[in-house]
Amino acid sequence: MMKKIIKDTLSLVTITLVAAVCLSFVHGLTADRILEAEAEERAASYREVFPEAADFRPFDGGEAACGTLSVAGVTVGEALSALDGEGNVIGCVISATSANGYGGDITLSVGIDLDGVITGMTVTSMSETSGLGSHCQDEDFQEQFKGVSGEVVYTKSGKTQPNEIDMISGATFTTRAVTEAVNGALEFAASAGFVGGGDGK
Amino acid sequence: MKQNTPIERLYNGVLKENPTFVLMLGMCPTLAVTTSAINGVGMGLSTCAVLMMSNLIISLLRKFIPDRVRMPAYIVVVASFVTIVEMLMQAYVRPIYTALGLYIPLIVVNCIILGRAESYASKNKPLASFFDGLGMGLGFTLALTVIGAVRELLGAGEIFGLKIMPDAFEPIAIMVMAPGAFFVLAVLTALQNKFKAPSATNKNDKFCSGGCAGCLQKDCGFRERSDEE
Repeated sequence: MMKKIIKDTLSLVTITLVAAVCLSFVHGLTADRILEAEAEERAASYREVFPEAADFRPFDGGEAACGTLSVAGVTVGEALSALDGEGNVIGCVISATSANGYGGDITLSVGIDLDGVITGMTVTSMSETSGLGSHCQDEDFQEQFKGVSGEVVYTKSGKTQPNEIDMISGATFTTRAVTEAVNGALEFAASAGFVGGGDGK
Repeated sequence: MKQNTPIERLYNGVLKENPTFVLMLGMCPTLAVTTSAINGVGMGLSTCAVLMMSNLIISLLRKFIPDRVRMPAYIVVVASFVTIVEMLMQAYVRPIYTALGLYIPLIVVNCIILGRAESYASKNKPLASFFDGLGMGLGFTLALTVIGAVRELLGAGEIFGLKIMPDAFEPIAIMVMAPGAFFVLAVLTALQNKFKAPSATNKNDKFCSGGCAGCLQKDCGFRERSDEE
């Protein structure tokens, strides 16, 4: 009996050890590549919302200023200065999250130039209902934010004002959360001194 | 056809005992990821990779693994391969990795994999087991792709992201949501029953050709007889 238990244990331990060695080997192979791919993805999403910028740099003091904004449930996660080829600040890229989506958090990146005009918006992560709220990642919807300045409002009846966007049909919660997060980012950019002729720090 | 040859195993997995359509195993991932054809392909191929490798290793270790701890041993082998596949996908095929998300780690508990380990790989030679895994994996991929394509076509009017339906077609959004998966599978099973096609819900001796090694139908009288031989 005792012998059997020892034999079972030993074979299981052997299998587990071999498996652990294999796993650490593959981890060693892929870890760097994964980090690289994640960084590339982030950089690509920044470029998408601010195509004119040549480079991005974490915005000084951004860490301290990041936090809850006046809109309930909206937080700024990351803020970067957008630089042109000569290293001058030409705007900022802000990652904002709204916790008020239908399926929880919606995180998006917004590019804002020095005049407070949105250069682009991309929803980077969300878990909205497939086929309804998930349309917030559609090109058509995101495109509407481009060129808007001032508070964004959503409308059901077709956009008439420049700061209006058409809501996603059947997804009021999603549209509201996205709009909130974009407005939060605009508010942050203004309070951080990017907008309104500030030196952009 | 001669039993347990590579070709026979492929045929068995893809057609005769297709894991999704005939054995009706691995229904959770089938329901969850078939929102589009490409997701079906991704999930199918990653399961296929895990299935091939785990079948091969478990078959090689079938004499080494003591019978009483075989389940934890299988789980360790399967979980290791799933983690390896996950890391590789995360590094090299990120779009599919992002789309499948949570369902990749869940491959570990996909009953096709443990089912094949227990009912085939633990009793057969490595080569046949490897091809059993490949056949079953391809069968699973095929099934997920077909179900995904049907749901994508009805729910979004597209297949593999290409617009198929005319503009006048209003996509039935519910088909790409969870209930759509049940609708498609229910219709499929109903058709199988109607036409007396082989499936787990439609037991029919006519389709049993004595392939007991790979058969999961434990209450079949034929099994005892062939085991004694």
